[in-house]
Amino acid sequence: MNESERIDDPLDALLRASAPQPLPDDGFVARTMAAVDQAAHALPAQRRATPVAPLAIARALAAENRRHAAQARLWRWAAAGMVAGFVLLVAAVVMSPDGSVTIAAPAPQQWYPLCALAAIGALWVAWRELRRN
Amino acid sequence: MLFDESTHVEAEIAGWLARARQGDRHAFARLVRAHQSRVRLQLRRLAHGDAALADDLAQETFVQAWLHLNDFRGDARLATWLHRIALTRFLQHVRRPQLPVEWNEPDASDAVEPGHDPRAVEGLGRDVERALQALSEIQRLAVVHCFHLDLSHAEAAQVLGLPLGTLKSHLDRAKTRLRELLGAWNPESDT
Repeated sequence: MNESERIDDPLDALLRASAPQPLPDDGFVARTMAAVDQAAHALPAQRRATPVAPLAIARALAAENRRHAAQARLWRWAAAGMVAGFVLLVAAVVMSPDGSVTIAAPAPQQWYPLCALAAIGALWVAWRELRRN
Repeated sequence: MLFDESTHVEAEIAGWLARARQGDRHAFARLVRAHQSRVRLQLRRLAHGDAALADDLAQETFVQAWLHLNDFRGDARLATWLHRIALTRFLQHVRRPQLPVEWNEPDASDAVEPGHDPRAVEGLGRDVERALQALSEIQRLAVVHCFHLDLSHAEAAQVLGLPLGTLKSHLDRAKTRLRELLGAWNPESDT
C-alpha cells in the first residue's frame, strides 16, 4: 500500500484493527501440497489429445466401409466385364458359320487408340481417388 | 524497522517463487504457508463464513497457482495474483462470470442501528463486523480487500476486476455509511 493511502483517518485505523486474526495452518499446507502432487501427476493425462467423440468415430468408420464396398463392387463389375467379353469373343469364334470369324493379333499401331483411352480412364480414376482422400 | 522487515519478507518470497518456478515443491509449500491465511480469509468472506467451502476453494486456488506459476509475470505482488485466482475460483463455483449486480444492494440482516453505541453492549470489533454487514456486498468486499487483506486501492481494484475509480467510490460510500453506523464511536477517547 502506498504512503498516500496509509495517511488515513481514525476509521481506517479502526477497520485495519478489526481485521480477523491470521488463520493457523491446521494441516492446510499439507493437504494443499498433496492436491498439488495429485494435479502434477494428472497433468500428462490432461495434455493428451482430446479423444474423438464415439459418435464421430462411428460415422467415420461407416463412411470408410461404404467407400470400400463401392470400390470392391466396381472391381467385381470390371472383372466380370472382362470375363464376359472374353466369353463373348470365344463364343463368336466358335459359333461363326464356316469359321469366318477368327482371332488375329492386330498390328501394334492399332492398339494406340485403345491404350490412349485406357490411360485417360486410369488418370480419371486416380484423380477421383485423390480428390476423395 | 518495518520497512526493512517487509522488504526482507518480499525478497524471501521472491526467492521461493523463483525456486518454485523451477519445480521446487518445498519452495512452493513455503509460499502456500506464507499466503494461506489471507487467501482463506478472503474466501471465507466471499463464502459468507462457510469455512469448509472457503478451504476447498483456497486449496484449488493454490493448485491452480502451482499449475500456472510460469504465467505469473510479476507485474503485481504474488498475493494480488493469488487473491485474483481465489476470486475467480469463487465466481466459477457460484457460476458467475463477475461480481453479481445484486451485491450492490445492502444486506439488511444483522446490521447495527444507526446511532447505536458500539461499545455499550459488545466489543468494538464485533460492532465493526456488524456494521460491515449493513454495507452492500461490493462495498464490504472493497473494505475487506483494502483494510483486512492490506491491499492497495490499485491492487484491490485489480483483484475485484473493478476500475480504480469505481473501487474508490465504493470505499467512500462504505466509509460514509460506516461512520453513520458507528456514530457513537469516538476515536479521540479510543486512543
